[in-house]
Order: sequence, then structure tokens, then C-alpha cells
Amino acid sequence: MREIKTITAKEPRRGLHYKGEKVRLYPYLFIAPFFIAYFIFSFYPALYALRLGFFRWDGQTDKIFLGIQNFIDVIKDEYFRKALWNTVLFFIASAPETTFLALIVAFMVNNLHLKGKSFFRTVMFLPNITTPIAVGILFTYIFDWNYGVFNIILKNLGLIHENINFFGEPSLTWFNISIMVIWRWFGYHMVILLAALQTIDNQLYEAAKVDGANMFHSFWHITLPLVKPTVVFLLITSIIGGLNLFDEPMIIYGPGGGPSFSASTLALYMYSNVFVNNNWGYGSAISFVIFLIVLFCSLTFYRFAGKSNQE
Amino acid sequence: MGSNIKMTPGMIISRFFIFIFLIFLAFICLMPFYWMAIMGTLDNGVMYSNIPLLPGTKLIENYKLILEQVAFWRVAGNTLTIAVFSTILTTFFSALAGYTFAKHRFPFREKLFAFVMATMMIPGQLTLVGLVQEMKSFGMLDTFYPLILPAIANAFGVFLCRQYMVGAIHDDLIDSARIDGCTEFRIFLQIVFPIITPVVASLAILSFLGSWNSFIGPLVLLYSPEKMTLTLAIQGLKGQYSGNFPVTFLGLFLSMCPILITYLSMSRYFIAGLTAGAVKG
Repeated sequence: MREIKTITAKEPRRGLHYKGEKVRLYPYLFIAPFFIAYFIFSFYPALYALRLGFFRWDGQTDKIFLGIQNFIDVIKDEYFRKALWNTVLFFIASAPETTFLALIVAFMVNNLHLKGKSFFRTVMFLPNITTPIAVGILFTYIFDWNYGVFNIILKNLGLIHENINFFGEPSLTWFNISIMVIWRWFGYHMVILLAALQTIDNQLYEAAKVDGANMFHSFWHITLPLVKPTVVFLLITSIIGGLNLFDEPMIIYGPGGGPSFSASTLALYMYSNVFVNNNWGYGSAISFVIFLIVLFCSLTFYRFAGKSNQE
Repeated sequence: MGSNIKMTPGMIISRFFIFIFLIFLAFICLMPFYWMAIMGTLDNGVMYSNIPLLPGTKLIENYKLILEQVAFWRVAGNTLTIAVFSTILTTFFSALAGYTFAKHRFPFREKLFAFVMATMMIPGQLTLVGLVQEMKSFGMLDTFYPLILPAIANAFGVFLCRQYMVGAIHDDLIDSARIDGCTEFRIFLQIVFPIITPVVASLAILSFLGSWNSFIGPLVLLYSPEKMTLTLAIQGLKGQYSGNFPVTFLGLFLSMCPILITYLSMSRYFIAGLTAGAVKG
């Protein structure tokens, strides 16, 4: 408050002041478009969906108020539970593997002073810029029951006698989905981890080598602790992405959720309720429950990771 | 960047195996693209008998089959329109907001920025149900607006620009422009914007790719055939020619060409932007 006095001594004080500076309008004008657009295209729709969750509505006739019945139904819904389980299963089968593999490869590319570092980076990132639909169709072909390259290779190697029906067999669904997710995201994780590794001083590794440390040692004692924040960032991104997994199961298995519902994820189940079966109220309730799950998971993980980072 | 320590034979062998392993991974990343490229030229029957390795001669026939099903170039034009406009909006407004958060002091700045960051946690798919109904009431369903205008609020973009500007722009520069009587908006447009070209380029590529590849948004917001985007058209081709991989693949390859070219020619900017956002954060 004292600073204000010194200013007022020079010029007559006009308008609003904050911490000794005149509050101007333009910073708010500059950031206003973000908030307005966010409100119109995200915030209001989210609230609208929450409200819709209390109704039964087919999208055309009058809405019927149900109270919290939809939310109770969602929690009791066997298919919802199955979709939740699938989502968790696909996440476990892909996210840690992606980050782990990416970390190993980033370490290799970075530490071996390999020629063609940027070649590996460019090539391995390529799958990530690909449209999910392209990935889906590529994999439909590669794992095709009758003509798929993968079946042909396995057969030529003598590993199988009968072709495997990858997409018809419910117990293989997690494999198909995870392979696609890993293929698409491995490069992204690799590129980001490589950038993190490049910030580590090379002399640390040289010193460790002189002391007789092998590659495993320097990886465990130097690399791992230093890239931990980046790994945490990647895992949080994976949680948000994984809980919203939609494109891959939708493209390969369609909105029905595949054989024995084995490919249905939370986002896909929400989509098929709203946009296929026209259960707008129930679908909205699902989307709100998904939102709570995402929020809970990312906050829990954030807290957990944040704590262990401070140690 | 060579190591000064002499390599033992064991190290040479392990390096060799690691190199082979990396080449193998690179191969797995590249091979599907090669298949995608050559498969569009193959005959449907020939393709199925073995693993395709060489291009065929049916490019024109497959191309004609695509045109029977979708107005491919019109659809590509739609996709381009949406991608270009949303990229322009995202880069401009993210840079503006990022600049403000980085270089101006005003009440509630930290709280407002924390809010912007928090929006990143909330995935866009969840707002979709409400968005469709809202757009219906605005009369904007089955138009490009709901696919373009949300680009104004890109939290990642704001974050990226802010991170970059905190270090890249000196306060003196802004102050001296202010003393010269520049309006705040002119300072942004004529002094700040040119300096931050690298981060703007990165953001532009990311945003263009995101829009070009988006699937669920167009899927629920557009329904007339003449407004379709490429991802929807390819999905349609897949349904229509479910037994005919070459036609679907040709469509895929054509739709991927622009982003492949963009990526390969600008991958340096691209990766720079991506890592700047992730590693510092």
C-alpha cells in the first residue's frame, strides 16, 4: 500500500490499483477469447450434460425427470462395469509398457553416441502423426484372419498351423488394442524422454564409466532418477488418454463393443448409448461418471507422484 | 560427441546388437507406411495370396473406385478448411494469451492461469454430448463452426507460448516500445509475434495435425455427405469396401500424404515444440 502513495504523489490517482500498479483492462481483453470460447464450447456443454443426466431423453420427445436414477443405474450397470474393466485392462496392457520401452530406447539412442540419432527420432515418431483411423485399418489388415501379414509370418515360421482369428476371439482383444496403442504412442514417449535425457550432463556418464559402472548401473542410478518428472508427466497423459480410449476400439470393433463386449471402453460405451441408441440422459450420466473417474485418477496420481518427487 | 574411453570388444558387440534392435524398431515403425503406399496400387485378388512387397498396376482402377464412393477432393477440401482455420485461431489466440500471462502483471493472473492449466485435465470427449445439443440450438450442427471455433481455447497452446515467452522476450523491449507510444495490441502483433515464430510454428503443426486427424468430433457433429472430413470418408470406404483393402488403403495414403509431407519437411520444429512443452513442464 505504501508504493501506491509514491505513485499518487507524481500523478493524480485514477482508476483501480493493485499492488501499486494501475489495473489495466487490456490484459483481460487479451485472455478473454480463451475464456469465452472455453465457456461456450466446453464448460457450458459439460454442465448441460450433467443436467441431462437427470433426465430420460431420446433426443426428440419431451424429457422425463428421473432424479439421480440414471447415476444409480450407471453404477449398477453390468456393461458399464465391463467397459470400465476393459478400459483399465487396456491401460495396464499398454501404458507402462509404452513408457518403459520408450525409456530404454531413448537411453540407447542417447548414450551410445549413435550415428543417426535424428533419423531414429524422426522415424519412430512417425506412427504418432498417423490418423488413428489409419492405424486401425492398417492393423485390421495386418492381423486379418485369412490374409493378414501377421498370420502369414507366423505360419511361415511354423509357429502356428491354423490362422488365428485375432478380431473374433474375445480373449485377444486386449492384445490387439494394446499393440495399436503402443505402436502409435511409443514414439511420442521416446521423443519426449530423449529430450529429457539430453538435458543430463554427459560427464555424469563418463565419470560413472571411469568408475567401472556398466550400462545397467548408469541407467539405474543416473538416468532413472533424473527423468522421473518426465515419466510422471507421460503417465498422467496416458491416464487421461487411456481413460478416454475411443478411436482404436471404435474403428476396429465398431460401436457395439466387439465380441462378448470385450472391446467396449468407457468412452465407446458412452458414445453408443448417446449416438447409437439415443439414450441422451443415460449417456450423459455415463459421461459425468467418466469425468469423475478421470479427475479422481489424475488427482490421485498427481498427488502421489508429486509427493515422491519431493523426497 | 565421441566417447574418449576405448571400447572393449564386448562393448562393440553389445553396441552392434543394440543398433540391430533399433533398426528393427525403426522397421516396425516404417513398414506399415510402405504397405500403405504400395497397397493402393495392388489388385485385390493378388494382394491376398502373399505378403505384398512390390507395387502393382491397379492404381487408376482403385482410384476410380474411391471416386465412385466419395467426392474425395471435396472431402479433402473440407478437412483442409477446418484444419487451416482452426490452426490460425489456435496460434493467434494462444500466442496472445500466452504473451499476456508471461509478460503482464495483473490481479488474479496466477489463478486464471491455473484455471487454464486445469482445463487440460478435462478431456474434450466428455463435453461432446452437451456440445451437440448446444450446437443444435445455435443452428450450427452439421457446419464447420463447432470444429473450428473451439480452437480459440487451446490450453496446451497457451502453456507452450507462455513457457517460451518467459525466456525469449526481454521486458525492456516491450517497455521501450511502450515509451515510443505503441499500443499494447501493436506491441504484440509487430514486436512479440515475430520473435516467437519458432514456437508458433511448432504449435501450428501440432494443431494442424490434431485437426486433420480428429475423428470423434466430425463423427458426431457432421452428417451430410458433402460436409464429411477425410477420417469419416475413410471410415466409410472401410465399410463399403470391407473386403477390398487396396481401395481403402489408397484412400488412406492419399489422406495421409499432406501430413506426411508436412511432418517430414518440418520435423525439427515439430519435435522442438513438443519437447519444449513436455520437458519443462
